[in-house]
Amino acid sequence: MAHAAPPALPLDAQLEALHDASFGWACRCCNGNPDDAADVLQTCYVKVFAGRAIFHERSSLRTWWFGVIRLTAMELRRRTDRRLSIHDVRDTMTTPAHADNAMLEEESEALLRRALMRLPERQRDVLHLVFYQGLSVADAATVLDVSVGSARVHYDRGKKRLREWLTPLFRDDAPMAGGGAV
Amino acid sequence: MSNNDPDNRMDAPLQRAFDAMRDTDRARTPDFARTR
Repeated sequence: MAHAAPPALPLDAQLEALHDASFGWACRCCNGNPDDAADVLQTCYVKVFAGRAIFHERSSLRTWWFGVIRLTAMELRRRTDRRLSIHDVRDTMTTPAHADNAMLEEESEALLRRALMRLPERQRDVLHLVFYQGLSVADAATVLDVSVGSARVHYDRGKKRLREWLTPLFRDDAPMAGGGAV
Repeated sequence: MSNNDPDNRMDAPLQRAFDAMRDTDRARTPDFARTR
């Protein structure tokens, strides 16, 4: 006898489960500004619960939801004409000569954040969606409303640049968060 | 990490840095109930 699929959780419960990831993506869409990210996320929740953003199940909930967050962040930027200054890190991207592991871990994260801000926005977005959110390149393409081929190009170029810029940090013997062998 | 990436080994340090960044962000994420 066939069993019916278990009923899906209510939408608010599903969104709550995605909340941490959503805030991370909202931060990315707001150039790292957590206050703007919280505003954007709140606006997105209002849109959903007021029925102004409707999930039609044409993709996964997360893919659709991240698209809503991206568009809402773009609306906020247009409305406020806010362009966050992109810190130019060319002169500051050095690996500390003397630092313990904890310091190196903090530094590696800080360097990554600054390096991401140097990338073109599309490359930054794709890398965030793949490495930070664990999406496939194809799902990242859906979120960003670009072709899979285009997303793949952004992904490859962005990753190549990060590897070049962060080479000292990513040496095989460099301690990193997690500390496993490379 | 993306399953469709053939060079996961080379990506491991990058992945760990992103993981650390995600952990940091998670600690400063506002409550869902307060945000919605």
